[in-house]
Formats: sequence, structure tokens, C-alpha cells
Amino acid sequence: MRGKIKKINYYMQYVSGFTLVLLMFLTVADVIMRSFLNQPIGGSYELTSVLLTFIVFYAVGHAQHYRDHVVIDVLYDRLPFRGKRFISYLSSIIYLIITAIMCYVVFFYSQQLIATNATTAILKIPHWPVVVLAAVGLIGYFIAIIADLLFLNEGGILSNDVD
Amino acid sequence: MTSIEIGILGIIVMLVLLLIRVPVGIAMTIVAIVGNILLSSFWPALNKLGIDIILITQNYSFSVIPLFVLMGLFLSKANLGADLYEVINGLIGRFKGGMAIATIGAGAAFGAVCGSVVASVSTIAAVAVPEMRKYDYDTGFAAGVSAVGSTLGVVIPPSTALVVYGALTEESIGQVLIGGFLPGIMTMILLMITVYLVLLWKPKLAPAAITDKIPFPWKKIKYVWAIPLIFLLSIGGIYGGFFTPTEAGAVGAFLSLLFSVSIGRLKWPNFVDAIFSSVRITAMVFIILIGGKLFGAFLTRSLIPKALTDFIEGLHIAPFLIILFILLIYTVMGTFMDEMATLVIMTPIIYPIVMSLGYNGVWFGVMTIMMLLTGLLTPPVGVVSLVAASITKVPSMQVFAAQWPFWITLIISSVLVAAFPDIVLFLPSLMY
Repeated sequence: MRGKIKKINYYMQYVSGFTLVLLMFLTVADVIMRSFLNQPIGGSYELTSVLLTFIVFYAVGHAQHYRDHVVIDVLYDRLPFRGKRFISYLSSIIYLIITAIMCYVVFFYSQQLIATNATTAILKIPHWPVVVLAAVGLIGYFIAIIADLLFLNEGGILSNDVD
Repeated sequence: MTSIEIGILGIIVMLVLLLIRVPVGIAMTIVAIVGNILLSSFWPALNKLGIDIILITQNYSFSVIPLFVLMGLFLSKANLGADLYEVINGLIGRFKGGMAIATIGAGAAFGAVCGSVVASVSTIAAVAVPEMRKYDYDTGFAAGVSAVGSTLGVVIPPSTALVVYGALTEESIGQVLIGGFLPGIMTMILLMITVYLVLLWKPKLAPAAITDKIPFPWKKIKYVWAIPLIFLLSIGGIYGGFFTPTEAGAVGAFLSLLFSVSIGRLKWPNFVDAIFSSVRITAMVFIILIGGKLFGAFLTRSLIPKALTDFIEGLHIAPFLIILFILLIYTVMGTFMDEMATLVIMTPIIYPIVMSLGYNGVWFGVMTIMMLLTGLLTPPVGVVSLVAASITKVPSMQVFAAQWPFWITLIISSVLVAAFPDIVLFLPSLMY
């Protein structure tokens, strides 16, 4: 199960990576067209904002597997093994609840956007699919925490090293 | 409960959550959600949370973060930091302490374009320390110097920490980035002078002028010339008003990619590695940014910053002393907390106070980062020193012990920037 979750987040990271490369090329193309042809790409700011959403939310789960998120270890490092396991369980459960809430509120927001049919100003991109896809990305984050809890159940403790 | 009591309780709960190892951004988000529920009501607070999360991740200004990180990782994966060190070392390495000075110069130059302090120190320490060992430099001193030089990337633009400060305070990200340039260069020069002074005091730490001829690595010039050029084009573009910071990041990343591929240093696995590392770092920074922005908004609603500002104004103490006290708090926090964590936790509380005292937000941003920089070197969390120790296999206590004169220099440099704000504000004042 843990392996499957990691695989899902690994593939989600491809979406994020591809989007980042796309963002780089789009912005460079915009600069070139504006500077040399006096014809900037219309709506490039809007596209950048949309692409940024995918970059963040489709990598956030994999960042959790890689222990990239910043934690304070001042107390944790001084605890015995059992203390570390207790703290790991406690923080992971809190973490799980909050990521679930984040997924929910973003999904909820997308439903409001469907109702209002809001779009971006220039390219008229509907907001709701972007927000739905962002929520899907956040599910990757949620299941990454589940993978941590499974790891704890297998007898491990969380550390800054990739397990 | 009054709103201020809710705010104070929120800060205490956040500190407890941090102690039980809840990630910084998530701890701040939890406090913001619960606090906003208490200050308003359940559904409006949750509704606003969903909107805020999306608005923060769709903010055009913040798209500079993944692009500058990508630029640095392309250059880092192409191993250009090592070449840069060899060239600078070829120029000045033969003089007394020259290799240590070269290490600081290369660390600052590569750290600036690299964007990641850890990537920078890993590159520079791996190449500089064995070279210094070969010529009988003290190993602790060698590892310490490589760590010190690499930290300068946090101040010299492009710096993720400066962007995050701009994002949290809504100061101009371009101005904050440019503001870091002169203080970074000044600190680099002061650190080089410190090497000279330390070696006057303890000559045994380094050999006398090296009589062996260190051949100048002419072949490396074809790799190194692009680093200052990419820096000048991207950061100069912001300065000259040609680019937004996001565009500068994209142009810098694109040129780094083009150059690294053209010299055959960036193969497909390295390319993919650079992309994946960039998106993971971006996700990490944004989780902190989301937490920081939500926490800041909650604090504002709780009226704590206003109460603190009123309290401090009522003390009738010279503003400069208050600033010094604030910077002392940053330095102490930086010794046991990650610099990004300190930045996002403290900025929403401290920034309104500093502004009410009449100081400039861009100046304070650079000051903040300079104080946090000292924390990157000091135990127990001094991450850069620990990375340098780990890579060079030098005991970490030796690295820490060798660094204290440089730590004092960093403090002196910060005091200079505090006393003469124009060191920060001169370049931003000339920007288009």
C-alpha cells in the first residue's frame, strides 16, 4: 500500500515538473515576443497563475515522501524511541486531519466556482476545473500522510531521511 | 475570550505544534483555521480558507520561486560551482590564505545563482576542502570557510528567503531582491578580510604562500564565463526594469539550461533530477507561504500586532534600540530554528511594529535575512555547517569552532546595514 501511494505521488510529480518546464518556456517566449516583436503573449500572466497551482499541488505529496517540509526537531531529537513514535503518531494524525480539511475546502470552493461560472479575465479560462485539479493534487498530500502512518504501524519512526 | 487572548493562545498552540514536529506551514495553517473560526464562525472561516489557499498559489508574483530555484539547480547539476572555485583559486590560491578567500568568493558567487544554500555548500565544500587539505590548511578551518561563503547566497539575489519576505509583507519582490545585492557583496568582502585577520592571529591554520605553481585552469574558463553573465542578465533585467522577477527567473533558468546542455554537462537524468528537486522545493516553500499568509491574516484580525505596536510606542524607547532588540530575537531564534520557519513565524508579528516605527520595509527584509544567515552557521541547527561537516567528514564541532570569527563578522556586517540603511536602499532607489 505504501509503495502504491509513493508511486502515485511520484507520477503526480511528473505533472508538476512538466508544468514547470512549460512555465519556463511560456515566460521566455513572452519576453522574446514582447521585446523583439512588440507582441506579448496575451494572457500569459493568467496562464502563469494557473500553471503555478499545478506546480505546487502536484509535487506537495512527493515532497512529503522526501521529507522536504520544514519541521522543528529541537524536542524530537532528544526523545527516546518510544517518545519519538508517540510524537510521530500524534503529529501525523493532526497533519492528516488538516490536509483532509484543506482538500475539502478547496473542493468546496470549486463547487462555488461552478455555480458562479467564473473565468479568468483575458483568456476566459473557467476557474473551477483548475481548482478541482488543485484539490486532486492535495489528495496526493493527504495519502502521503497515510503512507507515513502506515510506516509508523510497521514499526518505523519519522525522521528527516527518506524512508 | 477577547480577540487578543485568542491571538496569544494561537501563538502558544502554534509553538506546541512545532515542538511535536508538525510541519511549520501546517502548524500555522491549523492555528489560522481554528483562530478564524473562534473570531468569526465555522463555515465562513472554512470557506475563506479554500479561497485563500487558491489565491496564494495563483499569485503571479510568487511564480518567481520555482523559476529561480530551477535556474540554480540546472547550474548546480552541471557542476559549474566546482569550476568556478577552480578558476578563482587559480587566480588567488597561491597567496597566504588565498584558497580560503577563493572559497568564500566562489561560495558567494555560486550561492547567489544557485538559490539553494545546501546545494551551494555541497558543491563548494566537496571541491574546496580537499584542495585546501592538500596544501595543509587546517581541516576545520577549511570546512568552516566553505560553509560561511555559501551562506551568502541567502542575501545576494536571487534568494528564495527574500522572495518569501516580499510575499509575506507585500513589499516589492524586485526591490527586496535588488536590496540584498550590496549588503551581500559587502559581507563577502568583510569575510575575506576576516580570513586575512584570522591567519595573522593563527598563522598555523594555513600554509605560507604556496610556492608550487598552481596551474591556472584555462580550460575551465569556457564553463565559468556564463555564470556572471546569467546573473547579470536576470538580476540586471529586474534592476533595469526589463523583466518582472518571474520573467528574470524564467530567462535565467532557460539560459542555464541552454548553457548546461550546450557544454554537455546536463544529461537527461540530471535534467529530470533538477526539475523534480525544483518542484519539491517549490511545494515546500508554498506550504510555508500558505501557512505564513494565513497566520499573518489571523494575527491581524486578533489585533495582536496593533496591541504590540501600541505597547512599544508607549515605552518611548529609541526606535534604533527596538530594532536591535528585534534583530537579537531573530539571531537567537535562528540558532535553533530553520531560517524559513523563523522568517514566516516572526514576520507577521514584527513587520507591523517596524513599519510603525517608520523604518523601510525593504531595508528590514534584508536586515532580517542577514540576521537569519548567522543562524545557518550556529549550533545546534546550523544546517550549512552540518552539511559542510558531513560532506568533508570533518567533526561538526571543529567546523563550528572554526567559524566564530566569521560569525562576529556577520554580526558586524548586520550592524553596519542597520546603521546605514542606504547600503540596502541605494540600488532599489535607482530602479525603474
